[in-house]
Amino acid sequence: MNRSAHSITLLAFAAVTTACATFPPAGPPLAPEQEAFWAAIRAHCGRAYEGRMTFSSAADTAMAGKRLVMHVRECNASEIKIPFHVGEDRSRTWVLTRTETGIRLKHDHRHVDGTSDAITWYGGDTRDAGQPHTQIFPADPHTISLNPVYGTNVWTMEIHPTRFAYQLIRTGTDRRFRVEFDLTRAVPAPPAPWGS
Amino acid sequence: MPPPPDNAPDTAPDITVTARNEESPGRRLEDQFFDVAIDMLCLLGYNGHFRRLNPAWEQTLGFTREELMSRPFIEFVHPDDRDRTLSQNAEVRQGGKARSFENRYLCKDGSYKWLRWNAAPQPETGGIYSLARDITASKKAEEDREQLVRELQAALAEVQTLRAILPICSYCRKIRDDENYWDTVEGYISRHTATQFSHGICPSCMASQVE
Repeated sequence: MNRSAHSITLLAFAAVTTACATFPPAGPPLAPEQEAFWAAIRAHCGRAYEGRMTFSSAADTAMAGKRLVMHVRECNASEIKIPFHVGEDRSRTWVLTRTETGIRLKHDHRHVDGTSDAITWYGGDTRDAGQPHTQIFPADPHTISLNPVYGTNVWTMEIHPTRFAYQLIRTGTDRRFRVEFDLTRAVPAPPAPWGS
Repeated sequence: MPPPPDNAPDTAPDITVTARNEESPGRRLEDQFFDVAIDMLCLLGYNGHFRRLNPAWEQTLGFTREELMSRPFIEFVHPDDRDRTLSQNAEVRQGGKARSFENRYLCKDGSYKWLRWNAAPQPETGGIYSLARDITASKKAEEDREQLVRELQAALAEVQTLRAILPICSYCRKIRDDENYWDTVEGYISRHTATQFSHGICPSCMASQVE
């Protein structure tokens, strides 16, 4: 690299670091437990991991035998997007958002052409500080408006040093789904989710 | 709290009946909608008695319409919901509107159903036009979900209890609790969580201690 190119690179680096310094440090402040949870997931930004279903009911057999991959794909000050790929199905993305009251989990469902599925953006907000390793997301009013049956949904996300778990329990039914991802071995990043 | 509705005879003319007698095409159409509606439609007099109910009331609560109209409406409301129902009723009578108001109504079999209401007054007829929807199933689902959330939160709190650093004796493996009492591992965990123990013998102990 010649001297002028090196100078331009340094200038560019300085500009980037200056810009970073002026970014807001994060979205709304969270409880310490939630800050820890947020940071633990964000630490994996850019990486993808393979998982396996550790529990599923009959309603979830469509995922059986499929390769399950989570990809902590986009992270900014207030949002983390985690596409969840089921085989070649790239319709699902978990979206975590910092809110004034805690953390919000939403499910962004897209068709292969990128348009939103009729059933999308369901999820819920945390009610309490939770634990640094686990947050609980009961179904919110929008979810209930999509279908009253979804009103009984409770999602949990867990992040441990070696493992990430996503779980859905639908109370009053046998619907339960849990998938765990091995965080000790990153896998090649999958293609972008539909609609990205 | 507003005064309860009086039980005086309802002298206000029931224009729905009058108009129905006129047999105008518009009224006939309204009657047809009234009869086929899945939701519960009603006209409540300012005296606290129902004046008109559609068939959905019978299907939902099990009472006949005659039975429902024979007593003040408030007698069908769950005792715990009566005060706020009467407050809402008074508010509507004074010109307000009810939007998504919820209360419980008695069924013929003694159970209660959750209803969600929209209502608006009709001062010229001395009545309140209302639409109610049975939301019992979604209420039950909501309660089940809240119960699960409480259980998950409690389970997390228990996990947190065991994440503390425990002082344990290097020789006998007893754990010292907050009151400086040394307890067995089984005793400590049993007291701090819902975990229960069953006792057995591992293969190495079987070899060294038993055989």
